[in-house]
Amino acid sequence: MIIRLLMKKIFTLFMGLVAALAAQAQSDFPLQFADKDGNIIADGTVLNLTTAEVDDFGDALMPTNLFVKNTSSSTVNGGGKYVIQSMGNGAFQTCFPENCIRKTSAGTFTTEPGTFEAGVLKDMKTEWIPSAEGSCKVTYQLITFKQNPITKKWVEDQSGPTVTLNFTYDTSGVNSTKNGKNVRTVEYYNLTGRRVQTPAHGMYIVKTTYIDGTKTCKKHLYK
Amino acid sequence: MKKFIYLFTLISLFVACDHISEGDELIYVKQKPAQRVVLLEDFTGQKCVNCPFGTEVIEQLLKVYGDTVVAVGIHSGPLGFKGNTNNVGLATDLGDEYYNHWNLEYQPVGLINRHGAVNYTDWAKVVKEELTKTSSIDLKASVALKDGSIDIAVEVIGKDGTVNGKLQVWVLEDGIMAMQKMPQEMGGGSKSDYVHNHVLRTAVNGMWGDGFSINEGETKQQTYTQPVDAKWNTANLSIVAFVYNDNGVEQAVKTKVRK
Repeated sequence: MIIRLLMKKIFTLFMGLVAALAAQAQSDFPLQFADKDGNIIADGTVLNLTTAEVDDFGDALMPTNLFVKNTSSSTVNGGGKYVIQSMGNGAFQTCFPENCIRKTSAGTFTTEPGTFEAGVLKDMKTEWIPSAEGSCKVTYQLITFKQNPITKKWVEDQSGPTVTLNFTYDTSGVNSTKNGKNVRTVEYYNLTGRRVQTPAHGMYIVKTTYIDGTKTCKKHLYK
Repeated sequence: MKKFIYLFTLISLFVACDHISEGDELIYVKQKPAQRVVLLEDFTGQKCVNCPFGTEVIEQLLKVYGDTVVAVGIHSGPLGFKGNTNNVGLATDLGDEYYNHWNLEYQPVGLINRHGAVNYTDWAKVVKEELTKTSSIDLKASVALKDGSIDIAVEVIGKDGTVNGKLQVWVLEDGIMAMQKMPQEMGGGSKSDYVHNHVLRTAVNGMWGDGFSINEGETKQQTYTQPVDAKWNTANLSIVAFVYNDNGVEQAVKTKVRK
């Protein structure tokens, strides 16, 4: 009985140690997700993305505004591996780290490798391009690459932090074209004036900025 | 004394019959192989935010290597734009056919002498390697604009062995002002007055060209007439001709269309 309890404690301790090491490993990983100012976005973060904009070609886009920072003091060969878990319509596009890839169906994909100089903050230029209202869910993981010295081919090396991207394109509160004008961005504020990513239940101010620079603010009740 | 006379006569005869100097001999002399011109097919798109990086590499290559590099911008794939009522589109069905045929998955991406997909970050290295190679053929193209058509004459000179393959002729246009998505490093957003150069407009002799064969020492000429599309600016047109086969592009040439 005592031995069994002791074994259980050792096992729990071991599992805790493994989890702590894994967490440490992710934070020690040279490439980290970040915002445009370089603030690190924690491993495992779920981003609920509801802001849409219309580009100059007339396409609706839902940007992630994600960046990747090389937090190490040396150059890293890295990229991303992403799983499109579900996509109701449209295409998921990532222009990271060097090339643009557009996918229109669920699956697991890996980017080409790219070079990250020490300390560099690289725009991921990653977005969902919906063709209609709906949702899209993607998990994106940063990875490093190593080059086979004989074949010179790049192969996946180590895996780093992950973020989950939950896109929801809903035009009930706003339209991508309103009064014949194309919408650039849509922002949501609660009644205390604080900006929120996703409106929950209640009254919100919806600020719409159009391509021509004009803006409108309207109250909208989300049920 | 008599012996001396015989000997002298014999020597004189030998000297008199001495062969023609080496330079005057009428024997076949193998020609020197030609310098291989590098064909870089850039699969690009107006909606491809990173594609201006590829264009920047091409501009540097053309600056350094001049006419020994022929670049062609093939607007195609999911990031190509075929145009709408507001914006000029440069992508074509032809470009999409090429993009799909080569099983390309991302942009910008290039084919360098058709030896497989090359990321734009490696273009400079691969072009440099290709430039060290020689070619078994030489190509010349003469082009004239006449009565709304382009008259094209392509001359192929066989220099070494037999070359089998296909001869392809394309029309390119420089200086087209059209919308392009730009990376943040180049100002971001979309640039409506972006100037697109060496844009593939059409294939003169079908998507994959004409079957072609030439032996060493032969010279062959092919002629074509291409009607000018109303959208093209004739002042900025060029013709690209190249011979390719399963081993890649054997030789290429670019000639400006002049009135």
